[in-house]
Amino acid sequence: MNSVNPIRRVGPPKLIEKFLHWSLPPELKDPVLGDLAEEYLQLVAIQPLKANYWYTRQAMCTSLQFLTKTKRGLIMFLLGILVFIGISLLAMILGGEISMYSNVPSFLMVIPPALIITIAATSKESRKNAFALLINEDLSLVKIELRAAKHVFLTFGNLSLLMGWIGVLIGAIAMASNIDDLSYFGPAFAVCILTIFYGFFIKGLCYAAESKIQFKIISQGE
Amino acid sequence: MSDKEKFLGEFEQFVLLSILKLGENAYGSAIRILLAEAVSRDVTIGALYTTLERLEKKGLLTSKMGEVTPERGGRAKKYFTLTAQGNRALKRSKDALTNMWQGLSICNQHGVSSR
Repeated sequence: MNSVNPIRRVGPPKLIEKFLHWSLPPELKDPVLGDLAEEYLQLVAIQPLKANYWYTRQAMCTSLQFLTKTKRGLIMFLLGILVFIGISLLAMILGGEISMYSNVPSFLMVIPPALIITIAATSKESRKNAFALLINEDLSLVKIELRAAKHVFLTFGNLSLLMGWIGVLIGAIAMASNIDDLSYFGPAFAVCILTIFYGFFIKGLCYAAESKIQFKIISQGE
Repeated sequence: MSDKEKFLGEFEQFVLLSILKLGENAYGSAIRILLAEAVSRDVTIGALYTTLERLEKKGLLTSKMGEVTPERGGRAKKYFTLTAQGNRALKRSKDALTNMWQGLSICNQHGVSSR
């Protein structure tokens, strides 16, 4: 019995094509992607390997050219987050060993509960929109959807902060109950306030995301 | 000469001339291929569209969306045409170059010399 070869669609590299589509302004998506696809098909018939290299080069150069215009908001947002994390890390390194800021139980005290409650308190759609709004400048949502998306970051940030404070209180109670040996007070206090540090850190990141969505709400005329 | 009537850059002239040469078939890919074949300028499609957009904003070009074809993955072409202002700008640049070249000739070994 003859095996039937599946028909293979000859087309440009999918991932590169998607990246180019994402980075182009709406009015140029059709002409630019169409022109490149047309030339790619002509080239792939003669030199398949060169065709892929040619397409990748054209697409990457074009994407980089338009990214600063179409995704300026996203680039600035990512830059802001990087600076926030970078400055925090620098302060931690200058303050001593970085390992003293890492404590798994404190981390578990803050992140998982905040995450679970946020998932329970918000809809799947609003969570999807919340993250899509951060990377897609062209996403057009109505005001109620924008507010729901903003609420995701607001809830997660506030819950992280709240869990951080609860962690501090638990730590303080545990310390107060075992106050007999004062030599342990310093290290115990340091671990005790780590939860609120994690809480504030998450709240900072969420506040940045929240502000980005709030700007879209204001642009629509709050 | 007003600010709006500045001379065209070299690449702008090449692009406008390509559109004139291609006539009704002047769209991104055809212009890009013509530039590569005629003047060995292998530009990226992004650089070409940036120039085309700039020329359109200056009023030297107009564009219209064309037909959708299967080999383009169902995407429409964007056709470009020169406006009267574009034609005038090209002529002005050509006249300026012709004037500057008057009385000069290129020798093979000694570069440019006056006649």
